[in-house]
Amino acid sequence: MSTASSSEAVERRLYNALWWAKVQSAGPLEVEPDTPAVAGLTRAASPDGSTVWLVPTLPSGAGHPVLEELGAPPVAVEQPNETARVLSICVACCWTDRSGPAWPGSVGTLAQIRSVYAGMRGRPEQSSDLTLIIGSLRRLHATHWLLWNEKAGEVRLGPRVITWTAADEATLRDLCRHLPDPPPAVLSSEPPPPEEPESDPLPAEVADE
Amino acid sequence: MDATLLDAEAEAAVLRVYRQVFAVLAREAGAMIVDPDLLDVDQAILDAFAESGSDGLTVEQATLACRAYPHDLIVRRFDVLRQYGAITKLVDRPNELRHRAAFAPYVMLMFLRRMSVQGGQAELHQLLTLEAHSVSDPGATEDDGLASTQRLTKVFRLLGNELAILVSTSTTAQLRENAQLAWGNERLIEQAEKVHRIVLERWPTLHRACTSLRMALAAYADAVQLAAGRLVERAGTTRALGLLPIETWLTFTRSSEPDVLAGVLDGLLFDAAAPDFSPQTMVEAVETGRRTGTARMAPPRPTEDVVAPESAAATDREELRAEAERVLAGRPSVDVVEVVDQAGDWITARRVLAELTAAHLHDELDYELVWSDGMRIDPNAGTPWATEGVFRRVTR
Repeated sequence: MSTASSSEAVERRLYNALWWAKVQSAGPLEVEPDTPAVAGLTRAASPDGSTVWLVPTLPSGAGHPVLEELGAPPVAVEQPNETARVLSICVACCWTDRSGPAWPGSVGTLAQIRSVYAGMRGRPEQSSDLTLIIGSLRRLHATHWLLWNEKAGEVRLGPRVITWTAADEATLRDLCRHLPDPPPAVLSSEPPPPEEPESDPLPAEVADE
Repeated sequence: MDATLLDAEAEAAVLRVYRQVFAVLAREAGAMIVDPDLLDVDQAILDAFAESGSDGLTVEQATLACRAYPHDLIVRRFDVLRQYGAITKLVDRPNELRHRAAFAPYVMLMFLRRMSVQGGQAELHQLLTLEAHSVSDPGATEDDGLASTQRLTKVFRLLGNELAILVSTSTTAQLRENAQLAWGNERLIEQAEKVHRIVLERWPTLHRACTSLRMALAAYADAVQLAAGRLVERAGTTRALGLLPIETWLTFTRSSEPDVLAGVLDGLLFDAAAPDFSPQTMVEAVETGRRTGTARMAPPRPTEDVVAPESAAATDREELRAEAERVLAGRPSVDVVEVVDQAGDWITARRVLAELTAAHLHDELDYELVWSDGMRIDPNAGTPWATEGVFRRVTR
């Protein structure tokens, strides 16, 4: 009995270690929803529930501020200010229900981002803006801050946002209030799914079978 | 050669102490120690002598015993050791080939190695214990006490000076490396104070020497506090990390094998390396981005107090006008003497005159004060001497 439970514990530890190694090398991971829970990794279900993100959860006070305290350089990013601005704009566009948590948020469009960007700059849109925005979006997508679908021109908040604390979210709510309001999103891919159940609610049951 | 920087550092520490002690001797012997390997050579030679027994060794036998090192290096060090007396001929005669080694240099070598590892703190503790013993010995004389006190004074002055210079001139990393000077200082100071107490009780005439010891101790304690202050200030608010400098961690990560690194990280969960965007940096970025815009914000306006309060100048003007009208009492002009007499005593009259003068000088009030040559003298009046003049309205 005890050997069984101890071998189970060992297996459990190995299982955790494997996932930890994956997360430590690749950042947040997208997995099947039936993957068992892993210690230390927060699960963030995607909006449609088809996949789950595993995000490492660090104890409070163990994040990037430690680097600053030790005088070590943070992980470098190109055009840090521009990128942070685009992330702020995406938060303003995608975090529509600000009374709840930022994850998963809704889908924002490139048109919204461009409009808010020009509004923040306080001038009409310039041709160079798009280059900057796309570059920032790609950088943020690569580091899982955003999920940027370049083909559709649509963006969602990335799984990293679930690490935001209540205090962080309060700061960001304030930030969103200072940014210009985004125009309503015109989605290219989203409309079809909600239309189908609305148009024929009764046959839906039949279709399910 | 896969010597790491840390190894080199340890060797350098040994060498530093060794060089301090033997620089003079070695320079005279024509062989400065310029390489930490030479220390090992010395030790190997002395080890060979220890092995050889009572027969001693010739130079050739010694080089054979130390064949791990280059031949000429052994010969050179052998000469050096012989020149400063660490190795002597077995019998002092011209053609003697066999040599014997004195034990003292080997003890010295061990002592130096230990000091370089522990920074001399343990030795200092032992020295202090010995000094306490010797001064409390019934046979000790006043001269012993004086010598003991002076020795300790010098030790603590040197220690304190070294630390104080480090604090004021070196970088934090250097300071941290040499922080062993600061370790365990309270016990050191306590022990020295014990010696000081014994000396002062037995020979009160030595109070002058004891005063300088006390000063040296206080200076050392100050230097320790300064150094600790600087280290704590630099170590950050929450993590002292055992005062290890960040460079040490970096060196460790760069020089370690994958297995060692993996061992350290075992059981630690961390995120993959990714740029961080804290909400604060996002707010700052948006703020700076907004500033480049051409749309100008209106300057902040006070929201309360819509009615601006009357300025102090306007209040003053109205007060002066009221006073002038009171004095004139509807007349176009009034005699100054009359005004002075009305005021009664000079204290009041003086104040009224000051206000009339102010009204005269005020460029928004239409009054003037004109003095004439006459003077009224009346011993019975409140103000016996009064210059004549007129205060009147003017029209512009």
